[in-house]
Amino acid sequence: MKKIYFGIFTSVILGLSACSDDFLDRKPEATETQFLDVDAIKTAEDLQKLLLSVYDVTANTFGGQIQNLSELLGDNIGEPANQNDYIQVYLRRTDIFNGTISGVYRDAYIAIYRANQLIFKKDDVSDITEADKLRIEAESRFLRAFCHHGILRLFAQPAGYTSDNSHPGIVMRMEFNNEVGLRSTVAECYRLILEDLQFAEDNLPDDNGAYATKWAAKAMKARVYLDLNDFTNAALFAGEVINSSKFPLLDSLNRFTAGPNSEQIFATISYLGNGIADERGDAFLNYRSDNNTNPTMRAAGEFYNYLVASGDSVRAAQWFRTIESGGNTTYGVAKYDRSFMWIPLLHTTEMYLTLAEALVLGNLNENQAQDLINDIRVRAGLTPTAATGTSLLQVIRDERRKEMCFEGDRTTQIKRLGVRENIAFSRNAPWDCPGMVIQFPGAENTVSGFELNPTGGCE
Amino acid sequence: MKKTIYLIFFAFLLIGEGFAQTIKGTVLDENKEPVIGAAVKVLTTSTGTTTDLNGKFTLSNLQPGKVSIEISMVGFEKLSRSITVEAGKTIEQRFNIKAKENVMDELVVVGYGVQRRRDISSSIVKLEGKELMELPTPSFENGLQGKASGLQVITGSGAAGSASTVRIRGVASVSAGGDPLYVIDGIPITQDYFLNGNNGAMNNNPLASINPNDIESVEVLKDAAATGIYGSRGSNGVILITTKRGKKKGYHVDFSTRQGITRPTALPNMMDSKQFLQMYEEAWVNDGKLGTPVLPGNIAWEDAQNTNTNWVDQVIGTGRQQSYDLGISHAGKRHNVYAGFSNQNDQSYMIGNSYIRNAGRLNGDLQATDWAKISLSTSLSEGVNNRQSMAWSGGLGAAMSTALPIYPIFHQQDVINDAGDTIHRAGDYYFPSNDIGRNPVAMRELRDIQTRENRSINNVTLELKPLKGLILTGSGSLDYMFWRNNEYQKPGWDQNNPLQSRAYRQSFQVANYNYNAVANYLKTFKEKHNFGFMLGMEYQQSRTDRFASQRNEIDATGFLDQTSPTTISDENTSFEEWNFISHFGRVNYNYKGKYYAEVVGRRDGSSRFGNNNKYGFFPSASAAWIVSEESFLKENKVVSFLKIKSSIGVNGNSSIPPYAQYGIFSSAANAYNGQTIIFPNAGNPANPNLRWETSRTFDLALEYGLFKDRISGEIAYYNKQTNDVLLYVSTQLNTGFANTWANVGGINNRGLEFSIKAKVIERKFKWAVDFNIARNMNEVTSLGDYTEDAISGGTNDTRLVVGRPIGNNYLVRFSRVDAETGKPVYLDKDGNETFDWTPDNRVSTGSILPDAIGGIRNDFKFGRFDLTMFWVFVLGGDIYDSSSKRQLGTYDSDGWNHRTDQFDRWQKPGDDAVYPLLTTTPANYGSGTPWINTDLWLHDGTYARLRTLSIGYSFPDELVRKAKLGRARVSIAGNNILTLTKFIGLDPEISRDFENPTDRNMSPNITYLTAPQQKSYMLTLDIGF
Repeated sequence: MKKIYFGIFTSVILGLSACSDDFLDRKPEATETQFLDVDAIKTAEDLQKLLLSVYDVTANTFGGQIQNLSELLGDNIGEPANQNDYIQVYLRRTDIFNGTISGVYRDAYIAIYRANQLIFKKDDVSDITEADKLRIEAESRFLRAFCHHGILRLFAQPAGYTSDNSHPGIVMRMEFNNEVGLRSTVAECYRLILEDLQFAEDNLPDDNGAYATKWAAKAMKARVYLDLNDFTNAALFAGEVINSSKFPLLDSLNRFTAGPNSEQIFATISYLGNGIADERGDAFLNYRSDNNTNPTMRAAGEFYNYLVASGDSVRAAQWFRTIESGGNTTYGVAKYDRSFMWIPLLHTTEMYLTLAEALVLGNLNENQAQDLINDIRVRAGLTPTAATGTSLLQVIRDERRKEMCFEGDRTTQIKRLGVRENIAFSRNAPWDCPGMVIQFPGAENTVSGFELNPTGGCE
Repeated sequence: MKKTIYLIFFAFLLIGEGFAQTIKGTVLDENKEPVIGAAVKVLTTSTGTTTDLNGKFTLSNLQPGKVSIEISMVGFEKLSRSITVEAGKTIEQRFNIKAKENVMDELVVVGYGVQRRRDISSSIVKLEGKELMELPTPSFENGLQGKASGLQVITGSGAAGSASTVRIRGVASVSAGGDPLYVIDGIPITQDYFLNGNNGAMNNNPLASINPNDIESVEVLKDAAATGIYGSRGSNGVILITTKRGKKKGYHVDFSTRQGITRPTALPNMMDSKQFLQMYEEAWVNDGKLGTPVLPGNIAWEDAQNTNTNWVDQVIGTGRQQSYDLGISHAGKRHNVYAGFSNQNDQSYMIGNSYIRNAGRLNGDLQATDWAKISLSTSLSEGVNNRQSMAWSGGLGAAMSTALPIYPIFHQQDVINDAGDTIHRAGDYYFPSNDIGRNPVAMRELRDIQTRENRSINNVTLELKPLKGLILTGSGSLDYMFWRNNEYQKPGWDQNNPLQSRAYRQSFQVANYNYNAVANYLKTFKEKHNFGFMLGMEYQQSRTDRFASQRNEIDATGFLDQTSPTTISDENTSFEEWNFISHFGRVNYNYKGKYYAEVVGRRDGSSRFGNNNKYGFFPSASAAWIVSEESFLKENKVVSFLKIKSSIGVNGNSSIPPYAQYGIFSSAANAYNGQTIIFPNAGNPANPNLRWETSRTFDLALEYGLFKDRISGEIAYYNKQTNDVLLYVSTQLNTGFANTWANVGGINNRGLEFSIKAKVIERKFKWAVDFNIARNMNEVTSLGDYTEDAISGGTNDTRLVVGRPIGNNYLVRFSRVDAETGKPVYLDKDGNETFDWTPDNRVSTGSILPDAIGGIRNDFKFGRFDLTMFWVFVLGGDIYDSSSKRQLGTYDSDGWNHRTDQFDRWQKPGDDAVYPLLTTTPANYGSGTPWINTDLWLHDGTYARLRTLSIGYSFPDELVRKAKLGRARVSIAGNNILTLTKFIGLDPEISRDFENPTDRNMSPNITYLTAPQQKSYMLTLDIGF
């Protein structure tokens, strides 16, 4: 009897000791939807899927959130309702706790991280053609530049704030690692952005379905050069895009359609069909006032009145609506009154406006500038202008403000004006007060050496 | 030999019949068992006898008159009695003698074994199971508060089934779990509070399915030597729970029932409609706004004036508690069995919130042969928690925040839109701003959420004693949990589809297997040197399976009625596992029971760490000297017991998510442009260098007993340094990740503990006092290369700051209300006054650690009555009342209700007020946001609470015997009935819902719309036979 018990005991112990080191090696189960990072990128198809995820996050970031933050600093918008994070931006008192800002910032850098993974890991894959590899790298670098630039516009003072742009910019992530990130100067930021765009322009295809093409790279360069007040280059690239005739100006004022249209040089895609309802641009829904009597984002009364006073009845009717509530009148926005919009992040109208302004400011071709701006004006039901010189410049700037209202462009233009003419105001705040630059999320400050932005000073 | 005695007795009896004065007696012990061989002495004549096998004796040939008898027995107190014997009469009496209470001989459960209290050289506190039953909460750990020095228990809230935060000797971990290891009958149980995340402001409570009535004793292991045997998981202390087994011979049945009512300890002082409107209008006017004020929730001013809803009254009622516990035990010569059944039904004071548990247990031991014993424990319980929204997710939390008194519960009239459609009918629930979260009554009535947890903890142990002094044990156990959450949203819940109802279900199961084999060998050399050797190994495997969550759109009524036309199911099932291997050994030595030493070593391996760091080695050593055994103290009249003990050791902690070291990719179909994408999860990157968090502890203590142990107690000092602290660090967002797991930094905990037990009066009237107090000092010693912002306390602004305790508050200082303008004045970083609030001016402030915590218990006994008074107290320490920044802040469009404390506000120049002028915009408070964190909301959290006041009556023996019972007791008790505190918030004993373990360790002093504790009045009936 004793022996039997002994036997059981010893065999149990021996059985347990037989467990090998495998016993302590527990990995998550690889399923269709989850797997280890070391197993993730094996084929060309994997690379393409990862690339699409960069588009996905870019679409989230630029689906209205970045644009809204920029508009809130500007003079197109009235006080937002019911959104404390937006109110903080509107009051120009952003702090490190703002969750909306932190979400936008985070998404942009997630896209950049994934783009870096593609750029540096594409060689791990064997079954891919050289042409495809180049295309994938070009698309990644385009998106990396696009996201960096969006963040740069919000989180740093504009180019020209210091004469050599040595003032602090943003963190430029150009490598695939988890190192600490510190801010580069604005000059360096722009240099790296343009380098990426150059590669993209050289290697992106002419046509790429719904994704980035070399025309998108050129249009982006036009935008970046205008920010730098480099009018020759801005005119050059905007001109190339327009002269390609691939993106004719629409007859209708509405370029925020639920589907492709000819002005989209680069757009985010909402997908509806096959049982899928994937709406992008949902941060633009904050403006939507056709089905909501209390929209979060509204037009500023001064802006609407100025529009109407300047005789701009077509745009006033198509893009605005008055909201009466308890004896108070506010002005809702009708520009985004639809679902499943494709957001045109780079569009022909912007190219027209950029080219016109660059031609005048660069003393290149005022007549062509006049023609361009009149195309825009006529489409908006206004009479063509015969202005020249500074008056033409004023007309161009006005048209830009009205045409691109609520698209996240106005604040940058106010700052450009401030840089050029040393004076510009957004509502009552000077263009260069610290509060006109958004504060970084608190997470950036978790390592010593990171420089947060100064705040306030805008009252 | 025995037969001869019998014959002699018989003879005496026969002869004795003839004699006149006789005393016949029966001597019984406390369990009513006969005491055999007790000496019975007649003091006057020095004659005597002894008791027989039935405990009976006869004294004859006595002189009439007073006779003094003394009964004595080894291990028992002497009993003297004076009996008057009348001439020619025989008297029969019963004598009950009490076992000598030598505290030091008490058996204490230690890791993988049992030791006598006197032999222990480490720091362990033992509590009786019935002490835990005094506090009528479903979850047993709530009853530990104040019972052991250095053990801090903060009960979550008054919600039924809510979890407590338990800390032994401070907080030594940040992102790894900070709770002690819970071991039930040798099984380290599943104890994850975040199995289902935040879950609507109610974290999972893994201890709720343990039945308190099953518990025989609880041992709290505090220092490295005690916990050393648990090695890698013992760094935050260990709580050993032993369940009941059949101890007493024969059959015994115990039954108790408890009936009671509960109420909250305090009610919030929210404003009513008139007060709110008055204050709102004042804010409006202060801001220079004209016209009728625009109210939140689209309510017109006139309608608001006619509505006054008291939401707190709508969600709080009187709770009802009842429990029934039955225990049956049987012990024979070679076996014992215990079976227990319990039903506990706790309807809390929050209407619609309840926790019902049914549990059963079966424990048995069988001494199969002289050298082989088999033990079995099995338990099965089902806990059903009917939940209500709380805190930030609604319910009582909404009643204290966004549910304004100006909102009616129902629409008073039909509401017709411009197109002529009726969009609401009179009698429909009113949802301000289409937000159901603002109508707690609607949230309660239109939705059922029920969490059901089935738990079974089972163990089989085989104990062999093949040779003298050698004990081999092998045991296998399974802790199985199946958890299911059902949610049913009734028609009306979804404003956009009011006819639609929906049902949701999530479920998971956890299977936790544990096997161990231990060999113990005891040997004594030369009768002086006593050795004990122990060698063992342990394997643990835990697997959590999460099942596909389901969602049904149903038009039928019926909660779990699955007759639904469309079923949308999220197919993702996943599992998580972790494994653990350990080898350990212990050597005990004592010399003549005077000098003790112990050495422990343990090598643990965990699957949670990468290949380079899987194993850790954790040694410890302790020594003790029983000074009272020395010749110079042995006969001392005052000092009956004096022991000095000390220990040092190393423990570890690996309580991080099982796959923390890995970087994960996901894939999603139809993600962009209808295409499939793959992407890295943005949570954290891979870290293959993660390793054990280790603590080095030093402990020094003095145990004393005075006046024959009439007064006893302990004084202890400890110092614990934790390094390689496992932290889930917030990384810069520009890395593409939000966090990363890393071993960073150091934390130091040191403190003093003092406890004393005294039997102050020991006559017919008894009074015993039990007092303990402890002070813990906690400090972050290093953060490596990270700044204070790297570790965030979840949604609360607490920080790790070098030189300050964990979870330090980081706030802008509030200076005063400016008497001229009424605006709040803050202090900037340098201490200068400013009107601007910016996070740049935050400083470390407040002291979240209490100066001391403890409890004091008074037990009175007089005849059949007993009275117990148990106070718990916390001295010092601050509480941050996070929700008051809105409840006492701006009157903005977001719409929070305010507390009547705000009446003390600035109204005109020259006013000296506590709160600034009322306003609708945070710009007047110097900020862009109404969520303004300042130390105005930081309060002293000192409190003393009468945890239990109970009066009990034990029924007299005769009545009890007539009812065929062995004992019966009835008692009434009040719990948490009196609180002494200066804290102006709701309840100074709070712990809010948490997002994750880091949050749980770093934000213990934050309250945010947390429900107050419950106070209760109970009637208990306890019978046994």
